[in-house]
Amino acid sequence: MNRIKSRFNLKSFLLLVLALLLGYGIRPVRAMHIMEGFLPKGWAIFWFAVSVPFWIIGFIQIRKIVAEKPESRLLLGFSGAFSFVLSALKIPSVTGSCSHPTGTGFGALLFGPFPMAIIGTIVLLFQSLLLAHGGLTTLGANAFSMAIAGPLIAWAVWKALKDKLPQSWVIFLAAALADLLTYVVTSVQLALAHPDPVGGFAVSFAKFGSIFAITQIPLAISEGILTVLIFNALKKNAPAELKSLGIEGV
Amino acid sequence: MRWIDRFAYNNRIRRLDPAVKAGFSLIMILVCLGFDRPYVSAAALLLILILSVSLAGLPLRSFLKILAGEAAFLILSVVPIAVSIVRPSAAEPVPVFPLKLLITRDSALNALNLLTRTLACISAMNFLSMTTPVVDLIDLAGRPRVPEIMIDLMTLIYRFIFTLFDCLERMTAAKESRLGFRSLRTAFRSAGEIAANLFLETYRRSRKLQVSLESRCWDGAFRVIPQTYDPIRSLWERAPSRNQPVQNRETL
Repeated sequence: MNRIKSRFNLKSFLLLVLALLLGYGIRPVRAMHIMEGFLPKGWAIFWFAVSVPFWIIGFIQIRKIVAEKPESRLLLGFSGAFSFVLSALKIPSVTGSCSHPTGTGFGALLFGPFPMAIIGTIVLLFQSLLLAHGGLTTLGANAFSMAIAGPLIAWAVWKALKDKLPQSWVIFLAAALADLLTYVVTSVQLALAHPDPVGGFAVSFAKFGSIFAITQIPLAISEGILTVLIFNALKKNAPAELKSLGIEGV
Repeated sequence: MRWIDRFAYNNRIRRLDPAVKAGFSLIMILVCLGFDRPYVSAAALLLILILSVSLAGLPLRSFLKILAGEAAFLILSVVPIAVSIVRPSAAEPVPVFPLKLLITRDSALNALNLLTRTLACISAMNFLSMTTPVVDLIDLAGRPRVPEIMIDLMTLIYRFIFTLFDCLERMTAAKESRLGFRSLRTAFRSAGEIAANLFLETYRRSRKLQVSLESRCWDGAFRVIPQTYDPIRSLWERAPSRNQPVQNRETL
């Protein structure tokens, strides 16, 4: 009896709950990609229209970057592939989750948030084709939540807090907030497209929001921690590479 | 992922012009979204299933398996549309649970419509991605003069996805064989180190590729010979499809 009791102490219980929460976070993460056909035509067009200005700015910036340094074409391509492949990274108990903010966040640090809007959209397009996550008509909406809003907030947090807080905290906040914003924007998109017949937008937002909260809040935290660990490992192993990439202050 | 990609390169209508296949999928999606009626969507779903089995020769089991995986998530997102939450009126006795869950006829029909529509659209997308390799789609994107940089970026990203994926798999296996994912703590550390090394690998490979390209007088653009495809009439003329080995994005 005593042995059983000592095994089930509070700490291991909390760890178990955390593990379950994280483990549960595995699968419905995919629900963050709005599926093909899930948005009515009006909203699909609307989110394309919202994303277009960001794509145009991103395209102009990419053209400038490539004209100045032809080799950045390769680096842009590789960072896109990096953020695609990172979604297959085995995150602790969150196997196969999608870590866009980590991947696109790195890219946003390298090239700024707008070129990442283009790269992120290509990555989303490939995810819809190769992994069957997301879709074509919902590409505008998905791009806005994952390739535009996420990287923008990560970049803004990094720029604003870089010198004010310890670096680990800034990185944690940037990654976690980017993840949370993606989740809030997706919930808003779904609630706008499918308002509750009784309570309208607000109730619908509460419904979608609470379903995703179960998976997305633990995921945001674990992704924040992970991004800090990635940065620490990079600082330790490859200060020269980071410097030549122009990530200052790392 | 490789599953879908493998089908894309090995199916009976692989050589068919990607414009035909993409056009078919897009029309199906637009019809489903445009009519927005459950029976239209169900008919579209059936048509896509029949075509992908009889025309493309995809195994029905695999097609349904991929579809079922997506349907599971779909049901999760359809449930909140069917169920609404209402606050009970003051006249009613105070319930145990302060909110009432409610499914009306309208909301159930609405959810059903959404379910069939999304299923049909998803299967249209799956039809496209399981019959058309991404390289053909990139070729297709080049036809209406999408800017060259975009085409290059798409080609590069598609190519690098597979090299980096390989790299990631090997690093994960290495970490696992050293019990790197044994506990939550070590798993976090391992995942962080893998991602950091993957990032470095990414950077180093891009540098190496740059050197190798520049040593061959690379001027900043990737040019490949466009593929030749079977026209749509090959579907009923049954001409033997020519499988010429061409230098293209596949062999880049």
